[in-house]
Amino acid sequence: MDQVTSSAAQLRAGLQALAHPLPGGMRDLLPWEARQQLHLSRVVLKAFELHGFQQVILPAFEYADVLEQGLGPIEANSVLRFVEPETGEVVALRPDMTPQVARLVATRLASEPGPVRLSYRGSVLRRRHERARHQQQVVQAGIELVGRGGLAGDLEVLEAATHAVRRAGLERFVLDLGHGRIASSLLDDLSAEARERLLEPLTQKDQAELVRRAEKLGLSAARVRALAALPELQGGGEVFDAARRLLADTAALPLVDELQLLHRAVEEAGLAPSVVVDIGETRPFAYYTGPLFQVLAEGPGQAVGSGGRYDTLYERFGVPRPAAGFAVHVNNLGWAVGDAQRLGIPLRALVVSSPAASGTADAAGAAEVLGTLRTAEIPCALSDGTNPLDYARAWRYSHVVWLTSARRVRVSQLTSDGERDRGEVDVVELPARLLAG
Amino acid sequence: MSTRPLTLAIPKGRVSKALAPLLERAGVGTQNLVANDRRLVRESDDGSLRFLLLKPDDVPTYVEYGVADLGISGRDVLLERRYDLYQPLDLGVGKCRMVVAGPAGVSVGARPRVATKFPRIATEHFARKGVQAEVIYVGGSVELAPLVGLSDVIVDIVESGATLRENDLVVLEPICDISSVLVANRSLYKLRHAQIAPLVARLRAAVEADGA
Repeated sequence: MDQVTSSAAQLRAGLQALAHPLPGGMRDLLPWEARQQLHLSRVVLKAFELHGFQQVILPAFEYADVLEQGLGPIEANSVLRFVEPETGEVVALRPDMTPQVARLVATRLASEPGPVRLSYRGSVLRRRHERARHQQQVVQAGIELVGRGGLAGDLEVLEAATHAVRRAGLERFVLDLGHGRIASSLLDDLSAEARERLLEPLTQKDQAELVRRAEKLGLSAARVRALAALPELQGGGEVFDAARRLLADTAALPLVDELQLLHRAVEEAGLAPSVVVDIGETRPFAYYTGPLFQVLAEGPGQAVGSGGRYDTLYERFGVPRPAAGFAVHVNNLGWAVGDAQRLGIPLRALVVSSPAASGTADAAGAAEVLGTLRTAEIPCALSDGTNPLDYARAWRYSHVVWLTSARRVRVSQLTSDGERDRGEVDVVELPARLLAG
Repeated sequence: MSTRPLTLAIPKGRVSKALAPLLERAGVGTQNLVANDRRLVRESDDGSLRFLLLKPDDVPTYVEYGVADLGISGRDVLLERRYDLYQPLDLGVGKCRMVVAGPAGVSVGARPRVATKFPRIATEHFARKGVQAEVIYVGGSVELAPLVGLSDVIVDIVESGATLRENDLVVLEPICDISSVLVANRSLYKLRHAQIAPLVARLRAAVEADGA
C-alpha cells in the first residue's frame, strides 16, 4: 500500500516537473542539498576575510559591451545575452565576475587608496550546450587584489587562496603554476588569425597538430621547435632549465624568469603540499598577462580553483593598475573534499506543544521552549500537532521535543531506523541535553 | 587518495585491435584487452593500468569528466564535438581522411545539400569557403544519400575508398586528415603526472619507431 501511494506521489511530482521545466544546465538545491555548498562558501569567504578581503555583491547581468571590454573574443560565444526591452541594449548574464569587479572598481572605487582587496560569491553562467560537461551555472567564491603588482601581489593572492581551500578541508592538492604570456609571446608578430590557429593546439597540448599548422604558416624551424616543446615543459622546478635552453633567444625568456621567482617563493612559503609548473599552459580567458594559478585535486576532473594576473584588464576600464585574483569553484571543491568532510546531521528541534496527557496546547510553555533553544542558537520550530515524527523526518529535524507538563519536556532523537527516547528534562536543561547528542 | 588505478578509455572494436600492437610496443600487456569476451572493464597484464571499453564517441566524455585519466579518440570525434581536453600525442593509427564526396563529375554547387554524420565539421568546412551549404544529419549509410537524391554530396570519413567506389562516389575535396589521438583530462594530467608522463613517453617512443 505504502509503495503504491509513494509511486503515485512520485508520478505526480514527475508530471509537475515536466509542466514547470528548468532551462538546460540550471538546477536548484533543496535545504539538505544546499548545506555543503553554503558551508563551503562560508568557510572560503571567511578565509578571504581573514586576509583582508571584503565582500561585495554584484549584479547577475550587465550591459554586454561593458562586460565584454574585460573578456576576450574566445569566450564571447559562451555568454548568454538578451535585449533589455526598455533600452534595446544587449545585456549579458555574467560569465565571469572578474570584469564586473573591474567595472566596479573603475566606476566607484577609483579614488580610494590602493591596493583594493575585494571578495565575491555568486553564480556565473556559461553556454556550452554542445559539450560533454554542459553545466551552465557555476558557483564561485573569489578575490580580487587590485593595485598590487608583481610577485608580492601574486603571493598574497595565493596565500589567501590556499588558506581558503585548506580551511575547507582540502589537504591533498596540487598547485599548478603557468604563465599567460609565455606561449603567446612567441606569436606576437603573427596575424590574429595565425595566432588563433596556433593557440588552439597549444591549449590542447596537441603537439602534432601544432607543428603541422606552424609549418603550414611558414614559421622558422627554430620557432616551430620552441612551440613544439611548450606542451612538454611541465613538471617540477627542473622544467625551468629546459625552458631557458629552449626559449633562449625569445621574448619568453624574462617571463620564464618571472615564473621561476614565483615558483621559488611559493615553495619556500610552503603554500601547497605539491607545486607543479606548466610552461605551456594557456587559458581560454584572454585577459591573463602574467602567472596563472590552478588548485587541482582528485575527484572533480576540473580545477578546484583558478586565477592569475591580469595587468591590462583595468586599463580597458580606464584606470590602469596591476591586478590579480583567484576564484574557488565551490562545487568542485565540494566534490574534492567529499566524504572526508561530510557534515554531521545538523541539530534542529521540532517542538510539540500539546502534551499527550491533557491534549490541549500549552502556548506559553511552547514559547518558553522555543525561546530557550534559540538563545542557545539551536534551530527550532513549532509543530502544528499533526504527525510530528513524520513531519520531523521529512524536514530533516534531528530531535522532537514534547511538552509533558509545565517546564518539563521529553526528547526524542530521530535516527536512521526510528527514534530514540532521550528522557525527560527541565526546559532549562534542554539545550545541554540536545547538544550532548 | 589515488584510489583508482590509472585508467585509459579505449574505443571498442576495430580501433582497439589496431591499438593493441602499439600498446604492446609501449610495454603495456594487452592479453586481457584483446581477449574475446564481453567485459567492459579490463586490466593490463600487470594490473597497473585499467581499460574502459567504450563506444568511440563516448571516450572524450569519460575523460572530460575525469573518470578516465586518458583516452584514445579519433580526431573526427574531437573536431565534431569540442571537448576541454589535452591531446598530447597523435598515435598515427586509424589513419583516414575526412572528405567531401559525391557522384563522379558533379561539382559542389553554390548551395549544396550535404548529408553527413559530422554536421559541425561539414558546416565549418563550407563556411570557410563561403559556401552556404544545407547540412543534413544522418546516422549512417551516408553514401546512400546522394544516390537517392537526399543530398548532392556527403561529408564522411574515407579509409581505403572502397565503400565510395562501390557506390559510384568519388572524393571531391579533402577536408582534413584523421587519426587516433591520445587525450587526457586537463586536471588529472597534472595531478597524476608522475604516473602518466612515463606512459606517454613510452607510447611516443613506440609511435616514433613506427614512423621511422
